[in-house]
Amino acid sequence: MRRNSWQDGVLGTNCPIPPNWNFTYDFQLKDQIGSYFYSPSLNFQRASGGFGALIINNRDLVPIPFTEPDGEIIFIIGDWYTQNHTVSAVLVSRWCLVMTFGSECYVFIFVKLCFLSGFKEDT
Amino acid sequence: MTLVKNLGCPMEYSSMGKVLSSTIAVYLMELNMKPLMLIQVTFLELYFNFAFILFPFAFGCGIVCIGSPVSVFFVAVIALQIKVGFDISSLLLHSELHFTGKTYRIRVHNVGISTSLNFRIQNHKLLLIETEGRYTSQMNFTDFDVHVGQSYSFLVTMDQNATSDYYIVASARFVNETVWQRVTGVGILHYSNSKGPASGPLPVSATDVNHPWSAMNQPRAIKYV
Repeated sequence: MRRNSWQDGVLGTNCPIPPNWNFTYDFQLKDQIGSYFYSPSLNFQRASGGFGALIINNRDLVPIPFTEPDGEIIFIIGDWYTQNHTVSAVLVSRWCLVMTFGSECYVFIFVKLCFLSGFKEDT
Repeated sequence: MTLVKNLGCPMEYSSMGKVLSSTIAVYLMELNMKPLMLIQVTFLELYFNFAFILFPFAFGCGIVCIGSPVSVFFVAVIALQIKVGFDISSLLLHSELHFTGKTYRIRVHNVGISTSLNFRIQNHKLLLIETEGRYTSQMNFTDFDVHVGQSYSFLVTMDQNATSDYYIVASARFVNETVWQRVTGVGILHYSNSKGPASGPLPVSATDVNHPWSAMNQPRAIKYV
């Protein structure tokens, strides 16, 4: 949601979600489009792999400033530390994580294909 | 085009990737916000629960990685699908994807925690079209720096003659060169009529230490239209 931290899910504006609980985020996208990703903002859970792409497409009525692509591919890239998230959090708090980069880290690429040509016609 | 190859990926990574990189399409089909709320509920459940499930996985990965000589990972993921009134899964990974000359919209997300990454595809241009929810002035790049938390969309045309497969590289920026070469993430871009595997050294980032000023073109291109 633009220009508003209402329900942005970050500690301070929202409470954490306990395990096995649900929380419904309710906000207006209006004319917003674009590529985003979601992730937990607590306890370095993102470093444990808690993330995924969130894509908001334009309405069919709204033109895009380029030729309609034949398909879409999502690349999720990032650093992957060999320690678990708890250790990583401690290291970051001590400013050690950047220095240990290399011996303790890998870079990953997740790939996902989606929204192939013909997708919009099907809906 | 298919992007399915696995270069020495431990099992833990595979199983985790399948669980985690769920991707959700939100179509603004009508002003009624009800469907959007449903989507949000679903993926929040997903990551929160899975974060707990994955603690042992993360730990297991640490062990596997330390003991493994393989330092390059590429995880091809068929993600968990969430249906939002229409079937996405049936459209995934079709073999018809293999067309030379097609143009794909590639969305690159850096979900890391500390490392800026340079993203590039060997012999292919990246045409920047969108970032942070806005369309940008369109500019071609051979590679692009994606910092932590950023997302970019590029148009990539499959305009090569498929003499071989091509490397897809995500390498760390602002670290020692010998370090990034050791931890670089590598994927394979495979044309259906490809005549052989990708070979040779990985493509070099144009924005690395040799051409520091070329990095200035990237923020300058992010002009919103």
